[in-house]
Amino acid sequence: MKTSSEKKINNDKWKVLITDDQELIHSMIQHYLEDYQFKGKKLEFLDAFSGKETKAILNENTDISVIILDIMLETINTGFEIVQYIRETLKNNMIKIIMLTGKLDIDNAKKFFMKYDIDMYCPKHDLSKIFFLMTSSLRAYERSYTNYQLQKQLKYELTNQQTAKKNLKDLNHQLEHLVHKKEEQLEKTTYSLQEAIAYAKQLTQEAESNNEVKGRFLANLSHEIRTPMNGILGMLGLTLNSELNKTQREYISLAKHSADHMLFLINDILDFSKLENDKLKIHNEFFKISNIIESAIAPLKLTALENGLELIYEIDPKIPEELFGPQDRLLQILINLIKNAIKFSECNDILIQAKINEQQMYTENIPDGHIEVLFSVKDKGVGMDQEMIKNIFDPFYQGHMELSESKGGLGLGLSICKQLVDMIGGKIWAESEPDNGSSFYFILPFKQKTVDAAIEEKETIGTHNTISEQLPQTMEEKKPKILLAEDHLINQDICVNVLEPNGYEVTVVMTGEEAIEAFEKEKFDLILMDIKMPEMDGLTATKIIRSKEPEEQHIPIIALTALAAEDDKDDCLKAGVDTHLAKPVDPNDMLMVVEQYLKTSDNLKNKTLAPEFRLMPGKRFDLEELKKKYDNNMDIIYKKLNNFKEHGKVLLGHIEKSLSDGNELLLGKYVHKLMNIASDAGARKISDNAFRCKLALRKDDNEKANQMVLKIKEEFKLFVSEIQYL
Amino acid sequence: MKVLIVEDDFVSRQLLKDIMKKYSDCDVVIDGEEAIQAFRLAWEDENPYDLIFMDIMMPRMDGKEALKRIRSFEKDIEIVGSQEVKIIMTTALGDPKTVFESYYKCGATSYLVKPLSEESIIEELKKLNLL
Repeated sequence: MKTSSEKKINNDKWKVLITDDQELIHSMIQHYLEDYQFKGKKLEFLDAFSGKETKAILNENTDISVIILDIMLETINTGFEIVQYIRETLKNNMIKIIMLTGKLDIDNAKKFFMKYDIDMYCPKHDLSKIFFLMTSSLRAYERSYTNYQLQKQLKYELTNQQTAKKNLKDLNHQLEHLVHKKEEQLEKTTYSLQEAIAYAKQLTQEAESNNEVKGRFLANLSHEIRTPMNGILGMLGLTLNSELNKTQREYISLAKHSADHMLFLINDILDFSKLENDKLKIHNEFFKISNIIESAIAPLKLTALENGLELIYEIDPKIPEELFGPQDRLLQILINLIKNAIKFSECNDILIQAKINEQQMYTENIPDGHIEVLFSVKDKGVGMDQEMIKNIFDPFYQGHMELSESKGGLGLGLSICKQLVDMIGGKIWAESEPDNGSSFYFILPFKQKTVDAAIEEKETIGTHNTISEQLPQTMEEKKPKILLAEDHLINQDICVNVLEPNGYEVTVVMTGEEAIEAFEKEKFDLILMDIKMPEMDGLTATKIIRSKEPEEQHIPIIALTALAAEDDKDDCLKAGVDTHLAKPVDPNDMLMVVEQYLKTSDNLKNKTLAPEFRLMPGKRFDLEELKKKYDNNMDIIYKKLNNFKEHGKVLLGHIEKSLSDGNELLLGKYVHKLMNIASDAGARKISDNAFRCKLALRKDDNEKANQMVLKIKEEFKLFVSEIQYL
Repeated sequence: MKVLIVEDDFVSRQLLKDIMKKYSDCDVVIDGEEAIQAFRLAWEDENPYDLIFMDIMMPRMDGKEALKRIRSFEKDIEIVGSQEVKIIMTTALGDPKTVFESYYKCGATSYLVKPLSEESIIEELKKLNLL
């Protein structure tokens, strides 16, 4: 600041304005101040002779340091006005004012001097003083100028500071904003993250449920495939245990061999799928290592022999005889490896070894009582190159495509081995050279006998059976005539196409009336009656046919209906229909039912009428129970009771007949039907005995079945007599 | 020995019946509902079953439900401990061990995995002191 003010001072002269209306005064002052210097700077004089002129100069020159001002100019107070103008209008407090006076009104001047910061005055008669007055004025001016500069500087600094503060504030604000933004972003990110996590969770859940579905599907698949396998293997086993000639035995053995193989493949696929879905469980139990190796060899011995090779095994005597671990999985791994070895070994023996693993995998802290066993299966077959060794444990990989195709297999065996070994926490690898055989190694950890707690459960899959019996014989075929009353062309087609190829002669009519007409004109063995037909419906037609039927005849009428409700069935039965088939009709069901009723009608041709039942009170059924069962709906109860009364009688006739005919199959069906309608009618004793009869029939206990039928007959009489009173 | 075979598959039923009829008086039913009825009637005839082979997956009422009902029936008529009928669950499930834990809780005695063989059945019967 000093420099800046000095600079200004140096550059210029001190500007001094002299205001007086007298030329003389100007000259005198300039005379007195001739050669005057303050701080090395000369004076520059500006001259004004009136208030107006003074003001103009003041306006033009803001850098005037000192004004020497005569009070009296145009008016007596012009000087004061100028001072006022300087201080108040121009707000110039820097400029130093030296008042020139002739005669001073001291009292007035005092106030004025104080108010407008006038430093000094110079009487006109003593202008020589001006020299000193100028010095003090300039000193004061300089001081105030410096002050002013300082203030300016300070102000500037302050402004700077404030600006800085403001900037700082702005920056802070920006920072806050940024932080806030960041926070927002963070929040957003967090939210997105949470969303992502939720989504991931949902996906996981979906995946889990998908896996569950898959798992259930697998369990079902397993069940569905094994059930018929059970039948195939079981029956083949039974057949093999019966008397067979050489060729038959050979064929059946081959069939059984194939079935065994198929079961093995199925198990492989299921295991593989389960491994893929982490569904396979490892069960640890106590076992003897020699048992497992022998068990693995036993089923493969024959195959090995057929391939002209032998399976040899060696067990390191250092291995404890009894171990605790996943024995079934060990067996599975061994079987897979041995099978694989047999597949690719030509006439060279296969060596299976079990040793203690000297360089233990868990070198540092193998738990107490644990042991690692190194198993190896070595063949001297075609061997593998490096590429094959690399991929040999991949699922569906088949190294020797040309060989594999001829030897079968899915390429899953080794992959399953690897996954099992990984699951148990072991290690598996292969070493081989082309044409120099292959060696498969795996290491598994086991616990030794000292460990307590054993799970003693065993899964068994076996195939041998010793008893033989024939499947039930199929029914004999007839060439009967069937009347089909059906207005729907496609349904007609279906029925005809099912019946005709099976040896039935089918006559087709479109309405109930046509059906009656045909029935009167021609002799049919059975009628298939659609219920919904134009003009006359099937039930009406049935009723009319039954009314026209001679006493001893009963043509089976099977209703074809899309109605499935119990009540509708009852309506059908009431109208005289024997049974009904629900649409869409399953061809097999239709054939079965048609066959069954053709036989029934044969039996009925010779039927004798059942004797009248005597009326006897008793307690054959519980009305309260029936009411509960049918929601107090007496209509239904009566319907059920009547149904049982009417059809029970017919059925009992059928039952006796088939019993005397020895037709067990039909007998079973009638008994079953009787059981159901008896149960519906609350005839518990009858339905129980019918069930007993059914059980007896199933185990060919005809005596008991007979006994039961007799009991049922008695019960039925009592039941009917009892419900007469309802 | 009186045995009840509960099995919906025709061939499996026939097979088991043919194996078991050498060793026992053997009834056959085709679903859980029939099993319960047969079980109840056997008690009514005062000639209850010693052993039940119970298939698990069956229509109408499955083996687990039938198992539960049979056990609760026994409880109702105060049959306990060794008097209870032995129930061997039979299954074609691939991984029966885990599945079976729940069956033991419901009162199954043991289980056999299909395909069944005479050897495995006999071995199991010996374990249960039935042979």
